[in-house]
Amino acid sequence: MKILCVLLPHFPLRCELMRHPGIIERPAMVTYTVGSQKLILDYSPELQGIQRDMPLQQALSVHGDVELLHAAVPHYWSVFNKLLDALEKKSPLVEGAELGDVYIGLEGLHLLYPDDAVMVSAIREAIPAAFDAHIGIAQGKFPAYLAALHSPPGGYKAFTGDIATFLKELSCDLLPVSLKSKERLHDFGLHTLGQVAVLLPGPLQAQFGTEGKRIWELANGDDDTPLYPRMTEEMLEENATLPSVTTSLDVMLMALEAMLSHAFTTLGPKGMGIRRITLWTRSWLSEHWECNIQFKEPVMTTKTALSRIKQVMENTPQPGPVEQLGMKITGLARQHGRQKGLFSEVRAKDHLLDDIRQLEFRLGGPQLYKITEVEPWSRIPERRYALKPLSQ
Amino acid sequence: MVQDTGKALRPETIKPVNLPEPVRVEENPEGIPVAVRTTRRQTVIAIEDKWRIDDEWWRSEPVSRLYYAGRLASGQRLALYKNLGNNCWYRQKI
Repeated sequence: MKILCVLLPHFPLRCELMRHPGIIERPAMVTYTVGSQKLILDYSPELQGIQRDMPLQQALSVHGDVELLHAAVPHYWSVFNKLLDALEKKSPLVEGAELGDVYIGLEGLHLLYPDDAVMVSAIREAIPAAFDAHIGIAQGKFPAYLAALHSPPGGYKAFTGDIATFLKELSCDLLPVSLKSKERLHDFGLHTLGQVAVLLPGPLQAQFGTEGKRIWELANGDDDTPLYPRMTEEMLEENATLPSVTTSLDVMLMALEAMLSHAFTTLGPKGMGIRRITLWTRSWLSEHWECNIQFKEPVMTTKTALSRIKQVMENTPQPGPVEQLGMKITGLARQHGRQKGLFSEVRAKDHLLDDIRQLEFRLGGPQLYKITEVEPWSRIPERRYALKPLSQ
Repeated sequence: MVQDTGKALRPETIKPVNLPEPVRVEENPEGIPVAVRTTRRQTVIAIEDKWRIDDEWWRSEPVSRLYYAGRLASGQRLALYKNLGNNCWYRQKI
């Protein structure tokens, strides 16, 4: 399948530069937090010796005078999704694999775009110039990725025929396979794709298993990985900036309750419930916190959703005082009934007991009783039977 | 010895069934009910049975009741008893 790859290098940094144009002249690093450690997510291209996922302390020892920015991943995805929306107007087959990596299916588009140059110019129209898109066209994802990686600035690179000559000198590190396999390739003295391509697939399979065959195919420029176009999913997004930074869970829950209520005003009339909520907060130091909450059944009320959110937020502490928070609501679904088992009589009593216990919990005491014999032989009528809670 | 099952007894959750219900009764000089007053006055047209229960004499309030099974003018059957401890009348299902 003919695929066009768009690479947007340093996507997080460019998103930040669009938000903070004042720092465009200064070298910058975008950091994210894992536990108590800060790592590098992205950096200015001119900063030599810096790598992604490098500890911040290590990076600062190399380049001390830089602008530090905290990653706002939801913002990057929001920008990226808007970009994908724009690209979907050019081709219906758009896959946003990772932040900044886009694959577009070109099958059947030759009637709209007679040649590659027209297609590329249409794609460029959809991408803001600030992102400095690299575009490559080839049969398969991996060759298209390599083409994009080596495209000239402002232009594009297309592989139409034999690409073996081009791949020959490229490093094995570019292969989309596990790090362990890449290290083993180097251990075997196989440093370039050309060295791998001249081998027979059998020995590679013997050493690397199923991945060996894939390595051999990729090194020969064959990639039959299918394109996974974006699924269109209805989504609601709510966010709020608090009047002052807070560590109070109650204040955050109040804000989240208001957002949920707002969301249910849209969903309620449609009879829709929520299956999935992605909560996020941003601290006053721009630290990002995110958490996914799944619901077994679609929740239909603010109260039900909020009780689960409260439980999650109590168990997962915030990285710092919160300034901004929001939620992404997905998995919108209608309420459904409980699936009955084939042998319903086996579990019927258990289900009934579960329901009775829930009722007792909600209403604060026994609600359903059964008549039990106490002294059925008694001559005093009220001594013979008693009402016992069904749940006991 | 009976082993402890570990279950909480929770006696407060057990409810009695068929508790006697106080009722106003008109009785003749022999002490036999002739009319019952609930929301309205109803005449007892027949007494079909009569028995006495004396039980739980070991308690502070022993049970001593004189039961009458009768029929009202409406055709409805009912059971009444006179608590011989306090001379009050009660209605109860038998």
